Amino acid sequence: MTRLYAVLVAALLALGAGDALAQAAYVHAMTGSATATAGGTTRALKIGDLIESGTTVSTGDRSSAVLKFEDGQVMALAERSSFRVVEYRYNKQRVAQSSAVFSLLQGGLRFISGVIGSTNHNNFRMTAGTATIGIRGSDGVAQYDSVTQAVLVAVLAGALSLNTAQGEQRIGVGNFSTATAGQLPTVAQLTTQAAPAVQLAVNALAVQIVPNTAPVVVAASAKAAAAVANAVTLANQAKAQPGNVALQAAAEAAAKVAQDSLAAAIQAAQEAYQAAIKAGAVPPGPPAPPPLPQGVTGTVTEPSITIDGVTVTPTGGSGSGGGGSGTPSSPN
Amino acid sequence: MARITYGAVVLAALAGLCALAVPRGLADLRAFEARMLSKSWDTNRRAPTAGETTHAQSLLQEARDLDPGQPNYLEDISRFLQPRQALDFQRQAVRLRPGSPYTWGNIALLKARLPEPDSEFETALRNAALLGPWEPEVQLMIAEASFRHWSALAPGTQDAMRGNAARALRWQDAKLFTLARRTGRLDVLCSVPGVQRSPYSRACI
Repeated sequence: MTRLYAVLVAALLALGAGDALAQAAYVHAMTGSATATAGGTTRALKIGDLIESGTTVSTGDRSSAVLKFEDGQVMALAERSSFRVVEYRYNKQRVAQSSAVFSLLQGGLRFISGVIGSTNHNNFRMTAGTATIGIRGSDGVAQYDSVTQAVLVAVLAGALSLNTAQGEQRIGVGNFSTATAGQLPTVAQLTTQAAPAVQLAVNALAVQIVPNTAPVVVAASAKAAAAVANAVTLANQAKAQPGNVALQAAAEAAAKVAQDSLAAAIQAAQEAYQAAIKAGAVPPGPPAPPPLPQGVTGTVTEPSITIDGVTVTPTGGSGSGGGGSGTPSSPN
Repeated sequence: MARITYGAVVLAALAGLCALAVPRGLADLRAFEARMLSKSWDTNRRAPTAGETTHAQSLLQEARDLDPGQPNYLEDISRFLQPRQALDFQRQAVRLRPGSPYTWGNIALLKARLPEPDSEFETALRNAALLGPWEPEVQLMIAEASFRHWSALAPGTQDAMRGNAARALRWQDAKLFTLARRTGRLDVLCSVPGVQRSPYSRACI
C-alpha cells in the first residue's frame, strides 16, 4: 500500500514537473512577427502563446517579442534575433533548486532575472556562441553576431560575468565588455564612454519596455495577455466603425473579459510571489529605469518619456530656470 | 464734531488698509509677471536665457521683499534654484504654511532627488499624503519620491504611500505606471490594492 502511495505521489510530481516544462513562459508583448520552433515544427507566435522548454524563438524584421517566465524572468528580444530556451525548471517548493539555461543564437536581447537568478546566481546561464553569460544581478543586455561570433554584454542593474574558454570578465553596472571566439573578454568599460555604435546598440536594447519581474502563473498571465490584446484590437476596430453595433458590443464584451482575466492573473501572480518567498526565493531586484536620451546625464532636470503611448514629464520638471529644482508651486 | 472724528477714524483705517494692501498688490504684480515669463518658457518648450532667469528671479525677490509673509514667493523662487538651496526655501515656506500638501510634496521630492531619504523625508511624504490625498499633482510627487527610496521607508510610511498610489491609480494610472517604470518600482505598484482595475496593469503579469 505504501509503495502504491509512493508511486502515485511520484506520478503526480512527474505530472507537475511536466506541466512546468510545458509552460515555461508566455509571450507577454510583441510587435511585428515572431516564430517558435520546437521538435522540428515552426509556428507563428502571437501575444499570450505559451513557450515550452526546448523552444527556439525568433523575431523578424522590425519586430520584437517580450517573453515572461514563471519565475518572473523576462527576455525582451530585439528584431532579427533568435533565442533558445535550452532548459527551464522552476521548482516552486524549493526555488533554490530551480535552473534556467538559455542560448542567444543571433541578434540582441534584454534580460532581467526573476527569482531563479536572484535566489541562486549559479542556476542561471546564458550562452552566446562560445561565450557564457552569468548573472550577479538583475538586468542586462546581450548582442551576438553568429557570423563574426562577437558578443557584446552590458549591465543595466546589478552585475554580470562574461566567460570564454580563455577567461572571465566581471562587468559592473553601467559597464560593458565584448568577446570574440578564442579570445579573452575585453576589460569592462563604462558604456557611456564607449564608441557610439556600442552605445547605440546597448540603448536600443535597454529601452525595451519590460513587465514586472515577480513570479507569475503562466497559464493565467498568458490568458490575460491574449485577452487584453484581443480587447485592444476590437476596441480599435470599433473606433474605426462607430456605426457597427455588433462590433461595439463585441469590443465591450472583450474589454470585460480582459479586465476579469487581468484581475485573475494579478491575483494569481501575487499568490505565486508569496509562495515563492515562502519557498526561499530572494526577491528579484527591480529592472533598471529606461535610459536617458543621449547627452542627458542629470537626475534633476529629467526629460519627459513616453511609455505605452503616455508621455510623462517628471513631476515639476517643466524646466523653468536654468538647471533649477523643477518643483511645482502651490496653487494660489 | 462727532462726524469729523468718525470720518477721521474711517480715513485712518482706510489709509492703514491701503498701506497693507498696496505692497501686497505690488508684490503680486511682480510675481505674476515672473510666473507669466516662466509659463511662456514652458509653453514654448525652451530654456530661458541667463538674463531672463535673472530678471524673473529679481521680480520674485522684489515680491518677497514687499510681502515677506507670503510663502508662494518662496516656492516660486525655489524653482530657479538648485535642489539644496530650493529645499531651504521650501522649508521656509512650510513654516509659513504648514497646511500645504504641495509644499510638503516639494520637500519630499527635493529630498528624494538630493538624495536624503531621512526622517524629514518621511515626514514630508506622510504630511503631503495626509493634507492632499486627492490632489493629483501631490499624488504624483510623493509617488515618485517614495518609489525612488522605497526600501528606505518605514513600514508605516510604505503603507501610507501604497494608499496614495491606490488613490492615484483611479485617475492617473497611466502616469503612475510610467513613474513606476522610470524608478524601477513596478513591483511596488503591482502590489497596490485595486491595481488590476487599470488597463496598464498588464505590466504586472
